Amino acid sequence: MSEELDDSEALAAEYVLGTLDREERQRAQARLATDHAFARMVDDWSRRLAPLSEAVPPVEPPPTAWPAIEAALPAERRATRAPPRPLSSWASIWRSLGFWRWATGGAVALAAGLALYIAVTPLQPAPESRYVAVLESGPGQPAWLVSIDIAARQMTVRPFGDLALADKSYELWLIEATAQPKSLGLLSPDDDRAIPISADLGSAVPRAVAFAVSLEPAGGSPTGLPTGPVLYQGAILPVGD
Amino acid sequence: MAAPLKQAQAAPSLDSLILATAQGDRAAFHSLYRLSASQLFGVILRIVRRRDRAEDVLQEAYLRIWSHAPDYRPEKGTPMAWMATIARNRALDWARRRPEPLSLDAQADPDALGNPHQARLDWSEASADAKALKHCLDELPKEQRDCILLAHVQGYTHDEISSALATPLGTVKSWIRRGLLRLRDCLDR
Repeated sequence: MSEELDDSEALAAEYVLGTLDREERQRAQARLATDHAFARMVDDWSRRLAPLSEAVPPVEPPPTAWPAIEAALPAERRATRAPPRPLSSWASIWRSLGFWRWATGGAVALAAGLALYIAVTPLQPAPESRYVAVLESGPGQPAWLVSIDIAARQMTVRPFGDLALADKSYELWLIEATAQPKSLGLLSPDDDRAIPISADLGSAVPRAVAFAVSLEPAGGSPTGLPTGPVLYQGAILPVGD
Repeated sequence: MAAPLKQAQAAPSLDSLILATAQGDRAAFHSLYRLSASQLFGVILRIVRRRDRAEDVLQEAYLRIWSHAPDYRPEKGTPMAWMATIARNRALDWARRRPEPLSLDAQADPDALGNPHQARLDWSEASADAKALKHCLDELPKEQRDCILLAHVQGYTHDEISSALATPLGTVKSWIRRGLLRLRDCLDR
């Protein structure tokens, strides 16, 4: 019998148990997306603790619950849907002047809707530390909204619509004019995802030009650089008052 | 009170309903809902403590069950455990997104919850996995078991457990870690 749980295992167990506060939970979820060993520990703890839910007294849900669920089901099954068509190769985007023109135009076109979103968002940090990007699969086809708060060292990525994929992962990259793309981790097509950002990445954001999302093998790029096609991209815009 | 696990053992099984759901069978998904919704609603209501919110979280949970049905693997646990994990995660995400901690009493739904600090757990219909877990929980010192139940069943954070038990935070954290370690050693034995 071991003396104590090591830190990773204790975090995995406490994540499953549910005792983590909001920030700790978000950090654990970000790690879950990128750290396979940690994800396995979380699976093991879920397997151990989940049967406890069977002993919780059942409560009949209201009769309105099922019709609401049925109405919200997607028109077709997600898992059988083909992955989105690749936009173009990584290298061609990297060089293409057209990309910058398109990225900027798309961002401007969405500015009105975006301003509304920002106005109603409950987070209110200092404006100069905040940036947003709308990642599109083509002009006027937004797929992800990225909001970054450098002061809070956190970004959130919200998917628009149904982006589920089978057997592949979306990986988010920070694109600078004169450096290699930097990975910000994997994106979840089902959820808003909070991603903690390091001080280094935080300082890179103001001079970065865009985000891109590439399609990678499940679990992410094996090389640390994008290996699959770029599906979505968007310019990074500072958010003022 | 309904006994979903007992119903689940009658044909068709929850396993086969999840499999059919994975293939897009809406009728099977509706049957899955009928056999599991009261269990999941009970789990969610304990954690979010308000019926209106619990209904929203229940909807999110079933939409996720629909979209993730192709990922279900029987070797990772019973169908009910898999669905309950999804429901708990949705409920915990909702509870932690709130700017201030949930009131432990004021917003609770006393009719549905009874004592807000202590669920009356009923193991009579439980699976073999659940019975093994109960056996290991029973072997823990009472304070470690209480902390683990408050966290898992009620969705309490470390801070909330510390308030509920009027015990310093550091003590609560160390009870939980020791309890989890013993539980792992007992379950994996």
